[in-house]
Amino acid sequence: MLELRHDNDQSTLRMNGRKLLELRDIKCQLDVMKNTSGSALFEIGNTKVVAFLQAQTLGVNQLNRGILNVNFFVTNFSAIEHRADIKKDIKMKEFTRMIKSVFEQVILLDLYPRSQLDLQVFVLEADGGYRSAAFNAVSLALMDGGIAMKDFVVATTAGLLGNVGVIDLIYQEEKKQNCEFVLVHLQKAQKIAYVNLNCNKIRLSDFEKLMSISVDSCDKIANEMKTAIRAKLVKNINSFYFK
Amino acid sequence: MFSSFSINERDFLQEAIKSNFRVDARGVQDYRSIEVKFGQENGQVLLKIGKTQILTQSSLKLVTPQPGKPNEGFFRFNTEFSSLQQAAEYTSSINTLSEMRVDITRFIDKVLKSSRATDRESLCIVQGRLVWSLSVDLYLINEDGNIMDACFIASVLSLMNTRLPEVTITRDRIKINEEKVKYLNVHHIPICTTFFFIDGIENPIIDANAKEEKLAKSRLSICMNIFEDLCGMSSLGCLEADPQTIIKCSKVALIKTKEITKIIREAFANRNNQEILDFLNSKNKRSLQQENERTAQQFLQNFLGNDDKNTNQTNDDDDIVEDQEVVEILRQNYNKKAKSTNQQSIDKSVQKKEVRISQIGNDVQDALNSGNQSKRKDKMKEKQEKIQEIDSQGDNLSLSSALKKKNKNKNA
Repeated sequence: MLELRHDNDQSTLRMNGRKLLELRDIKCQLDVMKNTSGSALFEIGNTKVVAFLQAQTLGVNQLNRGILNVNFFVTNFSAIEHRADIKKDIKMKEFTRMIKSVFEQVILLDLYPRSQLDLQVFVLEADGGYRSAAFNAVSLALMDGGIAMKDFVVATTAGLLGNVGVIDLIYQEEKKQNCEFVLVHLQKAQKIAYVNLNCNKIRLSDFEKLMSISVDSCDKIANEMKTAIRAKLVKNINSFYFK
Repeated sequence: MFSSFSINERDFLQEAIKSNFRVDARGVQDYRSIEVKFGQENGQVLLKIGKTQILTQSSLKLVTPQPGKPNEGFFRFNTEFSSLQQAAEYTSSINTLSEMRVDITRFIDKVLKSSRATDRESLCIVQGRLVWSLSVDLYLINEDGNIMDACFIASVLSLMNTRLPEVTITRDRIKINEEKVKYLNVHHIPICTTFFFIDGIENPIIDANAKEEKLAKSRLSICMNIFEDLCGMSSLGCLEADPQTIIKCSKVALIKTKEITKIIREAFANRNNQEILDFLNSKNKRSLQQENERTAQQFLQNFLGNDDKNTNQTNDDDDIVEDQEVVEILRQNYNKKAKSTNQQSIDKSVQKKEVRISQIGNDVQDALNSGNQSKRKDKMKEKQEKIQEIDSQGDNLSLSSALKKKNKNKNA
């Protein structure tokens, strides 16, 4: 197991051979399921999250605003550790609320009166940073479904190894270092939508460092996501004109 | 959704905050008055932030530890929001009570465990066999906004006031000695400060009351301790804030943390003098309404250019009566040291004031009032003397000796 030197040398290697500010391979796949309004698979390293969107107009909802329902689920087989009672897991309940509260204000729900958006998010494999991956997957699925949004939502995870800020932690690093910072960024407005710091004790200066590196890494992830969406659109147009 | 909230009221609140005013006469980044009372029972604490009141109690149970962690006890936090009639809504969805409970309980749990405010090892009795399971119950007595901070601070305070009884084990008997107790180790006091972001206003506000909370679209909770460490952070709703704003928020949180920690330390230092039930029954001395009245009065006085400053005296009245005995003993010491000149001048000034009051008060009732006021002035003077005494000596030796004498008198 590689140990990290406690300095800011950018060439230092981490546990799985990455540099300090290097992301794992990102793979975005849109339109994974045929019967849904929009669906996406977001992979970063071994972490795999899939999100489905089902939009429907219902007679039940008579409001001038659409309703958003979120169902977030971490599957039993995702993590290494065994989880006995999955239905009572309070972590999922909490995070469902977080996703809902953010996307309720990002999606322009005023444009969808008398309708309901159902989001299903499944974590298939959790190898660190599944929460930020879930945000990205939801964002992609909504874009795939063509839902009007205020901004382009991108999320990332950062952490500290000793004193050094690193991005995109894997499972072992998360367990070992006990500092995890999830940040959701609105890419167009360059503003922060959601923060969650789960750590032991860190200094304020370290926190500023974390903030700046995670904002930078958001740009990289956003580029990957944009290329995936463009590729899908080009494919759609081609199939429409050149049958 | 905004059932008790008209458009006019909303606009008024928003405009007020935009121009750096709060409806209850405080700054944009000020807390309401915080009061802490430690009870005699295990982990019993009453916390008041403005009108928000929380009562906590902790209970202990002997259990066997988990096989993976043989020397770690258990913490459990439980919140009970029975009277949450006007639960504030920042997200536009129907936010159920259970969701709020999960959110708050989980945050408290996460931060207190990961920041090592208390170590679970201290709850261990026999490794692998016997540990304490500590559960802290938080009861929300009255709700007026900012439940997050109130719950968090109350749970920390409850841990501070928790006492573990001594356990002795002989062969096949476990003896719990309730008389010999020791306090639970709380290494540092993390304090949560919640910022509320309102649409169209750049700077967030602190410690919103119920109505302002309804106005807010998102909130950000920052946990810090007095040693300038960040212990945790959580948010709800879409913040739409710059990175600089969040860093600025954490700096404000540090200042607030220091203020609140000071209040807590003071309350903890003289916890034995407090009776929690009396506190519940007695009139809240520094209640928000009175404080507002006082500030309003001060404002009026400044505005009219009046010299009379009687407003501060009403609040300190009760304290003075309690300390009278101590003051008398102090006074005797004081006279011995023969600083008569100073005292004479004070007497003179008091006489002058009395004369003036009697001149003003022609009616019988007014005369009675002035009599009361002069009494109060005497008490104030005594208190001033006491303070001067302590200041001049530079240490509390005289005060402690006086207290001892007082106790002796009581015993006799």
